[in-house]
Amino acid sequence: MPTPVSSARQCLASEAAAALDDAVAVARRRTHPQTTSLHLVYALLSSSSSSSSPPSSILRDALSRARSSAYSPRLQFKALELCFGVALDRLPSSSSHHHQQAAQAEEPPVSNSLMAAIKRSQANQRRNPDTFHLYQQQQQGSSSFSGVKVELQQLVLAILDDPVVSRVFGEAGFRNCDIKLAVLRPPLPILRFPRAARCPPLFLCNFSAADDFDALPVPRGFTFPFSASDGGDENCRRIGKVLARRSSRNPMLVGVSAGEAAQDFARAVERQNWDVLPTELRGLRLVSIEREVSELGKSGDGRSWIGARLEELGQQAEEPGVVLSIGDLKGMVEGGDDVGSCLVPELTRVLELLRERLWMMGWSASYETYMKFLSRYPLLDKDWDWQLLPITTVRPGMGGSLSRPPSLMDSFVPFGGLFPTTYESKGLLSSPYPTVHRCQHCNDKCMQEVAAVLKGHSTSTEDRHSADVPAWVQRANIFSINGGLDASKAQDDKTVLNVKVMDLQKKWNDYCQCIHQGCQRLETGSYQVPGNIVGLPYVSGKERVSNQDSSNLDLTQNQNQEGYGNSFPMVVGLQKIAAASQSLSLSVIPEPKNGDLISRLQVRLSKSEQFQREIFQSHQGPHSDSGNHDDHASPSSVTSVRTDLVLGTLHEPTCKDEQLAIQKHTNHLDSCSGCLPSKKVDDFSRNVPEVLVQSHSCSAGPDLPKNNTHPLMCSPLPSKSGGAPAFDQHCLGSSNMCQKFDPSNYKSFCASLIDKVGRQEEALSAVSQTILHCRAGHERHRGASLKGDIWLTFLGPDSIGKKKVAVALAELIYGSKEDLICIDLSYQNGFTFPITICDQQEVNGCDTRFRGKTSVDHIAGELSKKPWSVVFLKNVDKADFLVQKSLSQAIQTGKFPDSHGREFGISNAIFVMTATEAQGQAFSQRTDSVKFSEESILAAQSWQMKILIQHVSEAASCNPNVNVLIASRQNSRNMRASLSSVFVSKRKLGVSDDFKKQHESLGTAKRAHRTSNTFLDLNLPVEEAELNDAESSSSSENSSTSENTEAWVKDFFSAVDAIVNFKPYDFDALADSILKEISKSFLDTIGSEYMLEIDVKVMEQILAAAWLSDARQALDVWIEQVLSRSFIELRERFKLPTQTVVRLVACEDLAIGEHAPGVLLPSRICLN
Amino acid sequence: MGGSNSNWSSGGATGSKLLEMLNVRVVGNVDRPAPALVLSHGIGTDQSAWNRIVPYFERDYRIVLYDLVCAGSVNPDHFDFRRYVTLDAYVDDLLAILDALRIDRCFFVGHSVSAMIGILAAIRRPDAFLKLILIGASPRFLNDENYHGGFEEGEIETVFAAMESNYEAWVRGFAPLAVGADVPEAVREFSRTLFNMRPDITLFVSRTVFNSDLRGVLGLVRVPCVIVQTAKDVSVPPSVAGYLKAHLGGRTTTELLHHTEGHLPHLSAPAALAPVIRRSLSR
Repeated sequence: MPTPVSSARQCLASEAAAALDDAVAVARRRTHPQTTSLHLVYALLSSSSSSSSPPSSILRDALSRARSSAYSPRLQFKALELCFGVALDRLPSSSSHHHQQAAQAEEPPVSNSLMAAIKRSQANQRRNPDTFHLYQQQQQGSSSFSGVKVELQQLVLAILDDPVVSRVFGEAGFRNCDIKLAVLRPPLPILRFPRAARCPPLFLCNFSAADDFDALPVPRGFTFPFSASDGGDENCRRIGKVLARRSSRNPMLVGVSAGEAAQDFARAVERQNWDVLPTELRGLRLVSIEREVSELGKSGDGRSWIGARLEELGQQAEEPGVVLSIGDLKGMVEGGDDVGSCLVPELTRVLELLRERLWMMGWSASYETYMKFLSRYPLLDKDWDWQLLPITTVRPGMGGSLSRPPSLMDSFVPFGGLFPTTYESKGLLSSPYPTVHRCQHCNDKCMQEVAAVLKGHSTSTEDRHSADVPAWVQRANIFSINGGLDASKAQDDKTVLNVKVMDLQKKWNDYCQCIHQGCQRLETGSYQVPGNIVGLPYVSGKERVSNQDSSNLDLTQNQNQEGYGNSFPMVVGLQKIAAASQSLSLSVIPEPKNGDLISRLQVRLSKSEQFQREIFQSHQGPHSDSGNHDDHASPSSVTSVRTDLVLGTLHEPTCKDEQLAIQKHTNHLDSCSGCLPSKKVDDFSRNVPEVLVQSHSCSAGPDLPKNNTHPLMCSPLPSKSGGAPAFDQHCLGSSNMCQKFDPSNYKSFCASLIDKVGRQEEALSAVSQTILHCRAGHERHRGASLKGDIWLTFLGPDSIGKKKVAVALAELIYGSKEDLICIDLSYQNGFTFPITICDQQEVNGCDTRFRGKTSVDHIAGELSKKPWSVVFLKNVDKADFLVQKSLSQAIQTGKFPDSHGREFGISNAIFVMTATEAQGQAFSQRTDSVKFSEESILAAQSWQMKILIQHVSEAASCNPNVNVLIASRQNSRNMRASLSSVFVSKRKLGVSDDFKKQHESLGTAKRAHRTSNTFLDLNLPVEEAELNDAESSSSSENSSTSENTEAWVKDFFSAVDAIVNFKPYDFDALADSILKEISKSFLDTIGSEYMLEIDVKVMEQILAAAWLSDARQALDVWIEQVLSRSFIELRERFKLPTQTVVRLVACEDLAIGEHAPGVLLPSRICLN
Repeated sequence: MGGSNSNWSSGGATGSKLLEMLNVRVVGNVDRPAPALVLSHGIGTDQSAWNRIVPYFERDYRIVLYDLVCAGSVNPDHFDFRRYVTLDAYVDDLLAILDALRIDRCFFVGHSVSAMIGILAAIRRPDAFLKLILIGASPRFLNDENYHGGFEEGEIETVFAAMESNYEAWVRGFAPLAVGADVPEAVREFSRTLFNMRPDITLFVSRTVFNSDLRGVLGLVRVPCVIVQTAKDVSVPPSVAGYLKAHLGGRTTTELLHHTEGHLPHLSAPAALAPVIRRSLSR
């Protein structure tokens, strides 16, 4: 129910009441049944009231500050006024009800929405501390009013919240929030570049509010930041700045668009547009000799004019001076001898002569030309006092590349520009389609065609164009009056028409650009808006307004998106902004919170977990029996009550019933709380929800089943496959371990370790000794608490062996191979590409998890998931700074911090670090006799294999390529061993070289590089190759940082529990035994009268696979099933002549498609 | 080739005010006398984008972090639509910051638009820069005759239109695309900073960037540069890295991050990028 005006007025302070009266008057004039917010805004804006009454200035002020700087204030205000006019027009008129409500028509009552706004502002004002005193004053002054008297400012703010109002503002290119901000904030002196006010254009001088704007604080350049003028302005400004300098004062523009910048500057000077220039340069003149320079080379009589022209120049040059534009340097560079012999010295002379009053300016599209010029005339840049000025801004309108999309705001521009035209020439249909892109000739033609199209089109709507009102306004009126009945039809027609007109324009634009490129572009008339904004489809703007059927909200909203979405920069519809900000606050803010929450919980979790585990572990330890929980629980006084509670429940299942089923745990809560001391019960029940959350964050971890609802059950076992079974298993495992940890069981532990690894016995015994020693807990304290974590460093070669040891430890101590966190810290440094055999297993897992994380966070994340595990860190000497820091802290404090400072307990982990670089100190048994070095095996890549057949003669000719050392030894030995000759050749296929080069050129794979090194130096001692590597890597590191790293490694290694040296793996022995196996198979299948030559790459591949595989059997199976079968097939398919060498080579362009079972070798070998 | 002082003074703000305005922070080994390491972010992010890179250099470098004036973390009032029409204004800012901090020599790591800014700054003041490390850099985003910048004019307009019509939706779509790799945290982070920017500023700066063409001036760079290119970058095709390498005037090397994709390796693969930067700094 609408509110009577008088009662609404009671709520308002005097200014606001006056505004309301104005609004009521507007509503009455338009015979609207109600006074709405729209009326109020319109009243505040309308020029008639604003000129007299001060209150309206609040909104106007705010608008002038909030408006987009892209458009002139006058246009935007006019647009705003028109938008509100149109919006009001669309309101239903009360004429039909007039007879019923004649009395009310005198003073249309206040609509509900406006009344709601008033109420809102009332409430706001009451709350607002700034206006609180006002409210109190009012209360004291006149106690007769029950409510607060609303100030105009508050009222305006409230009205702006009205969706109808904000929509209309949006249509006019204003953003609601900007206006509000401007209303709230007093005008600030905003830093802007001085830009002198220009005379308002004549065609808008009848705009009544012009006076108001002159008083506004905002400097009002009549500019459009995105039109050519402004990018150019910026460049001109910079040129002017150079000109104003004392030294290096002659600008030399370089850049793709330097020519345009020079043109812009010339135009600015020509038009005496001094805004862009420093004040002392006003009155500057510009003389261009570009054409003359470019013609210099062609015509012979160049010399004559140069002197004369420059002479003349000297006389002309008066204050402040003349800029001599020599144009494109290309002309100078390509010009004939005249340039060098005459122009250049002449210019130098003149410049010298008129030092204060003559500037020189040139440009070049590319620096190459500039450089060429300088190389041709060295030191000329000094003589000519050049200042290089990079020009990087392409004029937006150039080539129509970034012409602005059409928008409603734009449609006001032609409206402004063409206002007089429509007055003068009625029915000049083509005039709405002006364009500056075309030359005059083409433009005329285009106009004709457009006119023809328009005439050919249906006539009914066209008449209206000729009216003396801006056509679109009229049309809007018409449509709103007609109720938009035929709007859709007309719209369809118009769309078609539009497309046609656009096509025509485009066609002529293109045509013009092709043909008349050199022509002067059509100069815009004095009353037209400068710049290239004018070339807009006029009809489209019109259509948009005519579409605005008030009943069709969706349509208008679409329009908002289309029309205003495109205008710039105050572009985006208000609703959109609101929506965006809302969803922003909704979607973004909770996330960090969650993150924090989780992280906090995790910290807490890890603390409690860790503690429990210490207890738990010690419970498993040799010295603890299940009876003395209390002793172990005593350190818990350090931790919080919460931890105590958790511990209590932990003990509950472990001591009462070890086989407790998980279902029981869910019901266990009550009994738990029951068995606790009564004073803690409250705490406990209060803590339960939090603990529940913990379990959630916990169950985000890997395999924890959802049904594991007992929150306290989760914490000790997050890494287990879940539930009771794992728990049981763990108990069993731990009981086993109790025995093993007993010193007397050292032998069995060591034996099972050796059994799993199969080599490195010495190292393994050292490892097992250390572990047992540590687990026994001798003097292992960190501060007051026990140190549960074990730190081992494996030095030396046999990287695969180290990994195997780590896997074996995980299996023996923690029960599963999965309890291993394996990270190669050098992985990030050298991306191995393509993947070598030895890397294959690891990269698969690492790669995906690694992305987006630092290594530290990766390690920390894994640790939080499986705190009971072996942490295997390869190449710790290559660790980055973050990892170094975290590791140092971890070994000192027992907590591993991630990059965010969160700490993860490690007291149940075994850290195994490996390093290869540091091997020198502990390891020195290398001889020259090593045929296969570990590096070459590590670098072996998994290629497909194939078998080639060659005649001996051919093979013999290749013999020089064959690695003598290996081949001869192998040859002789195998000759002796069997009749057939099986030898390893080092011959490479042509492909491989290319391939390698490709990789090197890509700068990839240090590894690949190394590979080639070691190949070449296979005969040399391995140390030398290593030396090279060390050199290259140290040179690639900053000396200081690498020193830092070395120092850290030294420090760190001194703190670990044990350093274990590994022995090199004897690849030669392995090779021998494999060769024996292969030769046996070769003998069996092919026969003794043939020779088998195995490419060294293939051999390395086989060795790598054998090194990796757990059991030798897999390789034997491969030889038997794949290799022998290939030999048999070879024999059957080809009739082998005697004196044949069978070569087994790698196809270095083909990776293995399918692996043989159990070993990383191809499942079949190609025959050729 | 100085002139930055006069440029900035015309803007009217003093150095200290600028430092405050652009949230300049100096972290890491502040006392180290050696050249500073300036990290400059690209469009759509702010200095927080370097959060995961900074720890790698904290010990050994004095690190300067700042926000471009268009960043969401800078008060939008400071963004003068008349001043920041070309990249030169951003260059003025950068040089003014260096002056205010009395940094006479620095390493500059610039991402995307900041790479362009770094190039221009190094042209203007070659002595101030020891090395430019350019991540996801492009001298020109639009295609041209004999040049593949990766974008067609039409495409750009479509993108802008999408941005204008629904910024939120655009961000939601664009962020994963730009990040490239399947790293939800990075997408989330990038979306956040992208949202923080006022849409009209985003659009304005994007236009400024797409209107910029540095191809003509690359040869004027005398400072050694390192171009860091990921395996796949929606904004910068690999050919652009080649173009940069061929045309940049100084000693230029290219670093290819094989296992990393996307336009924002410092968000999506900091562990891979940091060693590359470190290597580049010391070489």
